[in-house]
Amino acid sequence: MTSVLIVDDELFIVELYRDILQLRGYRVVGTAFDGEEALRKYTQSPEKPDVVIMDHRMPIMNGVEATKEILRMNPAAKVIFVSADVLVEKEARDAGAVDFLPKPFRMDDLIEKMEKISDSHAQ
Amino acid sequence: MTDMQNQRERNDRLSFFMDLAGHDMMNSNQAVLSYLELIMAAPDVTPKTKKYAEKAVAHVRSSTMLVEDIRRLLAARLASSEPMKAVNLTNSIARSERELRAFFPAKKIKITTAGNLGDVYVLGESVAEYLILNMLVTLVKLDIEENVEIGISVRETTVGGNECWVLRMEDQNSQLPPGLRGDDFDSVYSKDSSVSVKITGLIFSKMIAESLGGQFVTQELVRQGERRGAALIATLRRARSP
Repeated sequence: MTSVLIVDDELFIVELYRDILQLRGYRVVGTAFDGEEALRKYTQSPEKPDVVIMDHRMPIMNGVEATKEILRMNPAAKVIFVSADVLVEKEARDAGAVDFLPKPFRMDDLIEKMEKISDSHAQ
Repeated sequence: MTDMQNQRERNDRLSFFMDLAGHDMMNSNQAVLSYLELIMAAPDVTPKTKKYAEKAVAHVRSSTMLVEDIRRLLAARLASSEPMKAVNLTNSIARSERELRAFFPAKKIKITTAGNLGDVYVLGESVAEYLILNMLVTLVKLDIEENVEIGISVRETTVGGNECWVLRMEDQNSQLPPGLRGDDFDSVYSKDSSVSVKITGLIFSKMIAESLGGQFVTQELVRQGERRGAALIATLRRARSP
């Protein structure tokens, strides 16, 4: 079962992703409300999540910086960037995000991208 | 402080506020869209409820587009002093086609191009690509049928000594609001709000095209004396392939 860390500063968005992903059979192993908390949870987690769903505009540390730090720690980490800032896509990909979805997106599109990552893990 | 500095500061503040408001609205739309998806996917949902939810999805997408219109225009305006980069419209059309179907899940949309368009490089990068999506969405919104067919063609031209591409999209069931001709949207926009709300997408398309140094016009299609759809035509500055 694919494990996920959800990072977004809006509680209702975190709850939304968590509810839908759990309904679709994913295991949400953690949630974080800013980049720094995401980094801390990622570091402390004994089992690294298969996928990190990362927002950009957050207090303390933004998504691009958090993505860079996570990938510095674990170059194999898979970060899917989701943001209402479409102009940040290039920055996110340059930071190492494997994919980018502009908000609002269809959850089916997110799940399709996560399945692609699960498939590549399985091979 | 000079008037110009004051103006720049006001612009910066406006831009900052619009950006924040837009960001928050996208988050809200994300929640609405996702819950509608849940409703549509529920095993006990009736076909009627599903249809209502599909229509609601189109409205969420519309409100998203309005916010994005404003953000893009501001971005284009603020970046107007920087050199513009190229984008291949053929790729933009393919990407926009996919987005368009997600935008209107209740409609069956078919897009055909006049032959192989090949490489059609224009200036404006993501703003030009956004214009393509905006034109397609506007055309579909002006078409009340469930089955929508859009034809796309491109041709070369020269405007004011600049090489350009003319992009034409037409739909034989789209209806332009009465009184709208060519590119004279501004007068219609200010005269009658019941008409102007129907042409917001056209106004934005025109503003975006002009911010890229191009043009945008509409054309009513008439066959045997009857109104038979509409064409949206954007003229964009040609770019070399990057």
